Amino acid sequence: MADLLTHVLVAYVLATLLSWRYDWLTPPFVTVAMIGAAIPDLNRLDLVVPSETITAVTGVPFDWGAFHVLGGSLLAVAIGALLTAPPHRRRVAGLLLLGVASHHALDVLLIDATGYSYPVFWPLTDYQPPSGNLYLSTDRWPAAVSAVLAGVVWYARYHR
Amino acid sequence: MGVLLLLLCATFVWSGAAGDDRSREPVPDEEAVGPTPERYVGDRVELNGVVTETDPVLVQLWYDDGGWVVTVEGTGVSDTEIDSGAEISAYGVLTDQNTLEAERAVTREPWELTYMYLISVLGAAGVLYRAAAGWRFDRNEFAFVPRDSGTAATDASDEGGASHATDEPTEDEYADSNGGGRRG
Repeated sequence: MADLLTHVLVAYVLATLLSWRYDWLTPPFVTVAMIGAAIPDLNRLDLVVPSETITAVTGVPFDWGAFHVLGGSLLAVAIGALLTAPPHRRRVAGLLLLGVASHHALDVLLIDATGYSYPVFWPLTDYQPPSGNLYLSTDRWPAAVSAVLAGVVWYARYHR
Repeated sequence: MGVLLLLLCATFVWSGAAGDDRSREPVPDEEAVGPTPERYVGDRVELNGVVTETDPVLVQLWYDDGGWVVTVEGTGVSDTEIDSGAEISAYGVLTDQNTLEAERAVTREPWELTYMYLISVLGAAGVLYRAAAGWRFDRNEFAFVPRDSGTAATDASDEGGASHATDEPTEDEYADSNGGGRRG
């Protein structure tokens, strides 16, 4: 995972660019895309309640990591859309998907010592794309670059 | 909704049960190798640990019930400047129980991990703030709806606010005028 700030800033940029084309895409809906970009990192619930603890207590194998692949991400998108009122659900689902997709796109580009990324499309397929090897989640420049982009887009939005 | 939540939980269990089988190219890691490293000699593995010495590079590894130390050699580490205390992820062939011939290695300083978590918490806080500012929980709908300063107001001024066939904007206006100070 790239750092979460980079993910939400990239989603902000993408959704704001789309808002210039779609009038209904108001700031609350831009936020929805940013929430979508955070969904795969819900696997970090592992830091709060470790998967091993859940396995030990319940006796069933358990892995928060499912959030960070297609299957868990999509289910979280569906649940997120259902949490909103019916007239908004399609748009919310679309924007959550945009955020999720941008998250996985950025994470496949991460440096991985094995040369392979994670099985992003699981459980549809166990295919692991070659890792992009562009940056580490601990690098500072991805957040800096996305912050500059977000700043430009933010400025353009209010000064068009 | 309940069905989806159950499915999501099922996915966590499925993922837990699948383990390494989730990956097409499963690479044994220190958890897998640790208990019986002799069984992995000659295999490609990825070992994640902490650098304790730099010349040669010694890495302390942990697994469930213990730990062991491996010497990491090869181009993976000879090309990189490595500091003691750094976290390392090294990929290559285990040439004997305590030696890894690394093709590639990625190292991070402890402060870089701290940075990553701090900046990520900042990102999460920003999203939560925007979510609270842009959305509220509507008790009538029993669902989240946008706090409509933008759309509803624009719709109302464009169309006089009276031509809506649906009752949703009206409800929003009702809720806004009555519960504007309520936090979702």
